[in-house]
Amino acid sequence: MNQRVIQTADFWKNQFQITDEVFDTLYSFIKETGEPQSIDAIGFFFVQYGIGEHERKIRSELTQGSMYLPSQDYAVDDQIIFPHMGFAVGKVVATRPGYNPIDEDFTVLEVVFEDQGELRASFAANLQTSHALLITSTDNDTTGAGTSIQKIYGQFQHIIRPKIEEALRSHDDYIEFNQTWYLKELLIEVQEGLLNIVDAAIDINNGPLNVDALIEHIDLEGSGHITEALRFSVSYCLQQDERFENVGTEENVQWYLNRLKPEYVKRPPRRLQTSEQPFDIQLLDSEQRALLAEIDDETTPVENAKPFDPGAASATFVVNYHHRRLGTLPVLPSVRHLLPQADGRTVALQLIDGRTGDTMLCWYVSRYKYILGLAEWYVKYQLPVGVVLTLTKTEIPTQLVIDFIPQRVQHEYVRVAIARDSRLIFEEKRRRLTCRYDQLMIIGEEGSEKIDALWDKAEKEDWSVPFILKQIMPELVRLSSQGAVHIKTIYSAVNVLKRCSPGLLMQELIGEESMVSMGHGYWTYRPAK
Amino acid sequence: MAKYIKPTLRTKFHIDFQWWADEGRNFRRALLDQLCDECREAVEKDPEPRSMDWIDPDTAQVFAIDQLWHVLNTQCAHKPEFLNEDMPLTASIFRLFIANNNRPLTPSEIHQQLRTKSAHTILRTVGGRNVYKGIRPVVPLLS
Repeated sequence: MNQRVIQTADFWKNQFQITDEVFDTLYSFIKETGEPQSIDAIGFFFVQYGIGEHERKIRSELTQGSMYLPSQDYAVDDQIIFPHMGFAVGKVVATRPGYNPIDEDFTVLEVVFEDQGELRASFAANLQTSHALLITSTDNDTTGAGTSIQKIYGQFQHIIRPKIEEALRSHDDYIEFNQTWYLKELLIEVQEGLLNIVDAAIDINNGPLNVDALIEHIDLEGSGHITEALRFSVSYCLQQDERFENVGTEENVQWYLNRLKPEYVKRPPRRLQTSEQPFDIQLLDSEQRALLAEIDDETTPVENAKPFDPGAASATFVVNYHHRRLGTLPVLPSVRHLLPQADGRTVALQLIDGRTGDTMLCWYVSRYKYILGLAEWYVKYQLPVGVVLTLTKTEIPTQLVIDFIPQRVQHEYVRVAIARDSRLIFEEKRRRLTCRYDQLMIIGEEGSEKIDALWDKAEKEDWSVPFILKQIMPELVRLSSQGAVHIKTIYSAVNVLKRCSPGLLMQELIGEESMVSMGHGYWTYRPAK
Repeated sequence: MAKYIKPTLRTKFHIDFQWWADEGRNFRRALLDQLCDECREAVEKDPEPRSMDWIDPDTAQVFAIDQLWHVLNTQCAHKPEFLNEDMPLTASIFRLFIANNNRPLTPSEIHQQLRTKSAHTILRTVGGRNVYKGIRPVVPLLS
């Protein structure tokens, strides 16, 4: 294979060195342009430099011998360069006549590679027939010039980029904001007083502002032209000030005030905090694994989660108790791929009410896999636990349309959770329903404060999942006509008292003697006598 | 001795002639077993071993191997019974490489040509520490 060295991962991993010399060149480059450079632009720069260095090395090696071509003749003591073997240099130590019925007569060279521990190998010479090396040698020049820098960077970005970032971080001359690097000495000064104006502007706006809007507020653009250097300087300054946070995406930086962020953006609500809940997938049979995926909980490992179409522009999912209660949406794998890249940060989203077109400022808390800010919306449309929602992308990555599926008003009996005598009981009550919902997941509640108090008690006393199951299963079984309860209903009910992933719940049900599987996802409770 | 690399579905395999030499195995015997009846008869009439210089189609490296290789590659391999579904997997892969003049193939490519076992099964068979009929991952001469 005539693969150039610069087209191998090994070259960029082991041979490519970021030296002080290349840093000096980068320094001059940024200083000349006067503009901050994205990490990928710097990546291109380093790749170009790396290729240039490699070419210089090859040119110097080319003086050591002649290029290997199977069609050429070589003699003992000739130095040969093998381009298809990383431009290794070998010495001919012997020759002999070679023969095979296809290529007939040719010469066999015995070559020693002194740099490779005296490695010996035989190569064809004087070949009269065609060979791949003869074809590719006419396509490629010897130095590798003309190789696409973008192509190489794209192929080995995962190796090159971390290497460059590490090197840039170790140089005090360079500063970074949002994957863009600049020289500290070129930073445009933003005075403290201007930051107070920025603070006030965001406060008055009652929502995040992009950096251009902020520059206009503080009147820094001078001639009216906002440069990348100015954008970088203002953003870098805001990044250093604890009052501000970038709640935008990599492509669209948006600044907001930390003090204005909702409490549940700063720290996740307890109902959404899940400690590690490992479970053994091997304990679940194929039907249970299918149900695990169907329940579609954001804590389910991706490999066991509900499959989704990566090309889809929308996701449809069921809202469980804790999300409905907190006014949040779960960031399931099907939802995640609709959202902008967040890398563990919080990103401000505009969710558009699919009924009215009104926009709502919401928060994608990527680290904890939820979107906050829909409490009023749920109440406005009286959406129950178990409601089926649809989230759809728009052309703007931070804007999505949220909607439910309306249906004719129905009055149905639903299970209603009530906290009574330090226990969670369930009663069937008629409820007015105007949207599509999952019949197995739907749960109403009465007396939210008492339920919250019971949640606190369960948390304080560290109620285990089996303990909660033994409390609620008799209740749920009593309300069912068949004497058995579906896993989705159990999941919904348990989560009223404790955040429990469906995987862990299934494992606990399987391990609990008094819980008996009736098949097709149904369980009953048979306490030991 | 070539270093061990953990092969994947994208790893190219071939018959490693050097392995046959290093292990002191009888490559001619292995080739004789692959001959069709007609060629076997011809070879039995003239049993004197002859070697040839096989040229690697990608690197032009030369290996001296038995000339039976050429007989198999140019004659036996063109007969329909040379590769059949009843054959053990390692024998099929060995014959596939004879038929294509030892041009390296990945387990996926081998699967596409043999259409018998899955690519994963092929990888498990030829990608482990045990070497069957010299079928090994292609390791660059210089690393």
